[in-house]
Amino acid sequence: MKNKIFKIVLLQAFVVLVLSGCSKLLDKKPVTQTVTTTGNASITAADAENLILGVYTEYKGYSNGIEFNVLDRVVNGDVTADNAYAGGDNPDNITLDFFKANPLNGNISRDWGDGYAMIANANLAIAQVSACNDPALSAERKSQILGDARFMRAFTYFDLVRLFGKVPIVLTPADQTNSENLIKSVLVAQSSVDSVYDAVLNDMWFAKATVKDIGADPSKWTVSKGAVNAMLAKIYATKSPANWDSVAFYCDQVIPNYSLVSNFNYLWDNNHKNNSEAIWEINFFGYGSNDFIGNWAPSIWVGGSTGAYDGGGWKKFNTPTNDLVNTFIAEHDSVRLNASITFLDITGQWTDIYWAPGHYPFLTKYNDPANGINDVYLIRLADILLLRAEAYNAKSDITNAASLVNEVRARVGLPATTAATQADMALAIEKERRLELAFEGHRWFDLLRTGRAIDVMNAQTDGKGKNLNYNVQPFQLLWPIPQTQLDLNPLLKQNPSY
Amino acid sequence: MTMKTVACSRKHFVCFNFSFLFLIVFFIPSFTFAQAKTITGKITGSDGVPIAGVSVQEQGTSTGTATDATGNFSLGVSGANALLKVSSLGYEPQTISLGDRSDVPIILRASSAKELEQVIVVGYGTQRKKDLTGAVSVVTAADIANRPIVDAGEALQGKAAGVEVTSNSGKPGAGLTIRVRGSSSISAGNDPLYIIDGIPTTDISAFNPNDIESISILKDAASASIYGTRAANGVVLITTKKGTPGKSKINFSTYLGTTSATKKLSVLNGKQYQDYANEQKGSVVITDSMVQANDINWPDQVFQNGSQQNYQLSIAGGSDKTQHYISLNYTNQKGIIKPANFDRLTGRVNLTTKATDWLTFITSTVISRSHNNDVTDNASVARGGVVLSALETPPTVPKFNADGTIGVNPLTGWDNPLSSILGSYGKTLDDRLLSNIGADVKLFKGLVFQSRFGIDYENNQTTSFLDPFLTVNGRNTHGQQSQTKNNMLTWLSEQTLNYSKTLGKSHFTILAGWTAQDSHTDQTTISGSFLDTIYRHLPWDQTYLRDSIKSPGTKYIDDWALVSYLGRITYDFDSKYLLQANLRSDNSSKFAPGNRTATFPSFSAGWRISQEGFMKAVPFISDLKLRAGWGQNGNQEGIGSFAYLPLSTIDPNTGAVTASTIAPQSLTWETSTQTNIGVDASFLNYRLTFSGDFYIKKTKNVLYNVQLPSQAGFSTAPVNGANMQNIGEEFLISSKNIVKGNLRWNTDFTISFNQNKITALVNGITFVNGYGSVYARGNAIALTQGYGLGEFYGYVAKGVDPTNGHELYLTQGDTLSDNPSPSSRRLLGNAQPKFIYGMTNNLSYKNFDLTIFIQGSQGGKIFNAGRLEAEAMVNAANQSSAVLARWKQKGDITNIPGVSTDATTNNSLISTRFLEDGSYLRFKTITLSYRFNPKLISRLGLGETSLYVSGNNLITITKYKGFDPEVNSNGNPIRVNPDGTASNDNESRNISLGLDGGAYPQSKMFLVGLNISLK
Repeated sequence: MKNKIFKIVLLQAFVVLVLSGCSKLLDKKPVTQTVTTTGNASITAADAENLILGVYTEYKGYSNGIEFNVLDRVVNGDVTADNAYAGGDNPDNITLDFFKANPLNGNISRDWGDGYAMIANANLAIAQVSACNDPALSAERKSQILGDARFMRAFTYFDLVRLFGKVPIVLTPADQTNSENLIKSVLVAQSSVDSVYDAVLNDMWFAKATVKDIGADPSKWTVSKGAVNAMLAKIYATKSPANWDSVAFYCDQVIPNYSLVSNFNYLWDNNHKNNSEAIWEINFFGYGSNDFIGNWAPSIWVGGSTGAYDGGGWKKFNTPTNDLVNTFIAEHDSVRLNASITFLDITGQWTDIYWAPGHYPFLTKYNDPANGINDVYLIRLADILLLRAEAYNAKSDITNAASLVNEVRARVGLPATTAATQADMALAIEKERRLELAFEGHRWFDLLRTGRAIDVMNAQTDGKGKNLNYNVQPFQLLWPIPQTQLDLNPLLKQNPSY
Repeated sequence: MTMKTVACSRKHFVCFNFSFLFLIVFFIPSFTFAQAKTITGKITGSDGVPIAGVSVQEQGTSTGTATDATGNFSLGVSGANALLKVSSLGYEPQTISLGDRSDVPIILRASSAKELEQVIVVGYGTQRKKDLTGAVSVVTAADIANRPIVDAGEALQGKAAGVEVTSNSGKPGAGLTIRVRGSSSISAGNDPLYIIDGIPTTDISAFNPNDIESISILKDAASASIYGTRAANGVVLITTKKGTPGKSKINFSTYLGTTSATKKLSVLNGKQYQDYANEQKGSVVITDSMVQANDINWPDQVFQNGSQQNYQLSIAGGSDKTQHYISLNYTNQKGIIKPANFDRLTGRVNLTTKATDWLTFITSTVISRSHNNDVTDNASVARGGVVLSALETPPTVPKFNADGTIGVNPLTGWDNPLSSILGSYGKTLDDRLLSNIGADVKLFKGLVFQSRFGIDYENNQTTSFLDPFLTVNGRNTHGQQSQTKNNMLTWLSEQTLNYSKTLGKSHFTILAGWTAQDSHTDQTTISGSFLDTIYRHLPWDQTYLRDSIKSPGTKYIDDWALVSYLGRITYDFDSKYLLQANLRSDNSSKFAPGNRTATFPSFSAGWRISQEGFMKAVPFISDLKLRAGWGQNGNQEGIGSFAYLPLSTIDPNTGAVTASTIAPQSLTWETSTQTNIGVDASFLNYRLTFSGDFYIKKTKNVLYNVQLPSQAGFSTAPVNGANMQNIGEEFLISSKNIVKGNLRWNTDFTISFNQNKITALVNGITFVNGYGSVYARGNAIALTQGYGLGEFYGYVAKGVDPTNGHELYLTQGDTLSDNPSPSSRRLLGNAQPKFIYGMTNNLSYKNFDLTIFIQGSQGGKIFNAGRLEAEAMVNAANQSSAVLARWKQKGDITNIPGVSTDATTNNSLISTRFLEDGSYLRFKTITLSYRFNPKLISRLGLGETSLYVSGNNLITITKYKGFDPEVNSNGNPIRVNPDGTASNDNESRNISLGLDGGAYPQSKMFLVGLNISLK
């Protein structure tokens, strides 16, 4: 009967096993991800540093930043305007260039998405760092981190309000207690343009008090008081009506702390990163650099399969316009023409309705399609000098305006401006900004700001005198709200006439 | 062909009824006096006609023989008490006691009722078919035999009612989309749970179908609920072959086939392309000399003949104590587009050994290694999709440039399709070990303790390489390569007690059990770029070492566990009134503590009306049974292990932390409640059998990853908020049309209807047009309350304006416009078929067998995104020959618009123009086989031997204009990326149905096969 005993033991073992269960087995924890701190729990000082690093990475990184702050900045600022044709083959870019974009346009949804994704990430960092009570995080550093994040958030809102007009203001993280609350908390209606600017200014004022002093960090990618003041100047020039006293005030906070580099080419030669002229500059150190983020945008902008730039023999994006090239030539502005545009012979590679293949222009301020090391100036001194000139001119101080314009012109070997009236000076500054800041994402917003967009664009010709028939309507000065966002958020309202 | 089925059934019967076995095998012989003698006999049918090839065996021994052509046999047996087991295809097996006789005439009865006695594998046990109260479909080895099936799931297509099987594409290793009674989830899994010899898994690609003895598909809640939180999408039980006592059977089978695309699509030739491109560009961009230099038909370059081969060696047999089944298999598929291929080597050992009269050990182990070479499909030409590149690369583009790089369309910058074939590669290597070991302990009378312990060990390696020289992308990035190694170990412990008791005509069984399963995954990825071109021909590991930039390695760990209790009670009275109740309680680590336990009950009942006295008056009804069942199942497949927690990712480069997911208030499993009513009937002495089921399956707490407005900072948030409903009917009819001497003709027909509907999305959200992305056009599919998954959304195309060649669309106000606003879009129809069907005809005459298997799908729509690109006429890509009929000048009446010289896409928006009827009827298999005369080949030492030729996918009747209507571009399996995201997601697989984005075409195959068994 040994068997019987054995069987009984076995049965008992079964019962014990079953009753004991295996509750420890169910106790699994994520290993290669961390559980996000929510509620009142404080993060550590190291967490805070990693969070702000995350915000910086997001603003230049592959997920959103490089699209929004580099790739599309040139399309939105220059292709939409008269500096570049769409080039390439992408219907989304082409319809933007032709003012035929509708709410399904992929670039438009992408920019809305990227912009808000960066804002949301900043919101989360701001909330978590604000709640940090780790003594290892000094009050000064804490407010510095918060200032950096709020500056970047405001920077993006400034872009969004200029592109879309009324947009939802979201300044706190979405309710993360659970997804049901999250869904409710993100259904936010649009606010008035003025309210958006108020939010932007609020952040900027906070940042102005807390971010690092100019020069405190050799990297111009770190937000400094110079960057904040420069942004404040730009905001006051853009927000309608322009507040030229404030523009003047903030420009004057910036200008003494920076100086133009002696040679315009230094800005683009990749050997003068973080130079004396740079105010806020995205540093890209290439694909193999510490953060492994390379600026890939130039690889789809520049080069033919032969000539100075490699990057493949296919039709590139953002082809400079005849109008821009003609303007450079008419101005005898060879330094900036040669720095901004390179002509290559692409015969046999592709054809284009605007340019003959034997002498085909590429934008080459960003000139390294291979290694991803082209920096991007989000703000540099020349922009602020010319903005200050505008402020002088707005107050009818043509002399001082001319002197700043001439400072910019002198660097590239151009004679003093001949503009003598306020109206002529306004146009001279506009042209100077166009030639100085071509392909840096400013032109369309300058035209919007000065109310000249419709006149300028509807007069565009193909270089041989034939009008391009853009036929821009006033409603097209704002983008449509992306259809996907309207579908997902019933509180959003489409911009008029779309 | 059905002999295997019968044999299989009996084996299970034996395994699970030890008391009988022991009685017969051990006790009876011990009371007998061994006194050997030889007996002879003649075996005939009830018509007196001798039956050849009947197996005659002395029970409990390995002594056996078969009748000759005249029905005679001769066999040496141990003595007068020996029992003879007699069995043959199509006849009821008999056990005959000899007594003093030495000449034993035997009359075999045609096995009319064998289907009813068939033993069906169900969850944690077996049941006779006549006792079933749930909805279970069965596919047997016979259904798989002589078919070139690589993935076991293919065996279900058209054979199992209520199971929809779609091969995602013709690419070797591309996988299948399998839905049992429709889809019940939006963001969690919709794939059935597979149980291979007791081990649950979601991936059966490593598995060799030739080893399958039977597949049971548990479709309704009553039969599946014993699998609890994993059962809502149906359970597919796969049982592999086992040895039987007796002489070892050594079988070798092989087939060799050649494959080619089921269809060719015609594109513009050099001259036609020249006309088109120059018209599109408005100037002469393609000159005569360019056409003279190169006029390449790219589809012909890309689509070639492929092949498929299979070799299977198996040894089955054993003694009374120990039985074995051992097999070795090699399968190789070479695709019709290089370099796509798949090969797999598997070995299997199944052993059963009786250690004592109360203790039996059982083990089954399979080990496999498979290689898969991928080629990019389902992508636009601009994204390197090889199929669309074949259609859209101009004939004027050379294969190679003078410097050796791959030719590029200069007008677009896109490489020719050789870039996908030669310029990059993606390879996977999968090793897998699946092993189950266990013991059956007969504790006391009627009480058996079954203990099982299983492991599933997987090792995958995915390797990719982009040549730094050959392609534009390669030169831009200077080469890129990465390798992901994934290591997964899942273990399973299952302990069950089975009790059975018969009291008079009442029969009870009780099952109680405990199971635990634990899984750990460890994934590492390394990647590099910037490879000097001089090293580009070196093997992967060597180029990796020479990459001048290496990204930091990334790491992903995943863990989950499931601990469950289960129970079942069955009761039947005289096999007339049948009752069953199941209960399973699961504890899953995938949910927050406090919310981990889920309990799923089910009840079912059957009434065999034909057993009632009053039915004896209805002679043409042989059997009639009503079944009804109700139950609940859960679904947690496809839910991330830590989806209940808000997670942040850590950037491996900088350490930066970014929030990545958000958790719902209380993540929970989905619950399906299903009611099933079925009827099984046999008529005319079992010549005609019918089975019908009607079901309503309602799923609540459906997980939906709600797409969020961008300001959320997260693209989606999971919510258990949606409700889904599936209502359907399914029918199976089997008929023995002719059973006459040498001629037999059987027909099996299945047809299934399913209507899938999202009855509620999430609060306030009823419509999301966020799925089914079409390159540069937007999304073609909208998730819509009140409609099924895969609902198309877009414009209604209304032909071409003869004045300007523009495509016209219906606007919101039903006027026509060539520039419609997005609000003009509407719901256009659904990808899911109204019904699917399959019909198998087996005709056998003398030694010839002919099988014709047709299968089809009716009423589903396909959005032909490939045709959209090939007829878009927006750029200098080559186009389909259809554009020869394009609008050219004012007044042209045509349905193909003119070229878009400004590159805008208004002529090729997502619209009904590219939405096609995906219905098809396909001659899936036509096989003619010849069984060699056993007498002749026995001289060669061979037993059963047959030779066959077969054609697969030979004829497909469809209106679909793409390559093949069996397509699902978004159906590809999910692979988890190092950051925990996935390369394809459940939403895409579940919602974005019926999209053809340039999928690798299905192929047709001719093959020759041979089955040999050694005598």
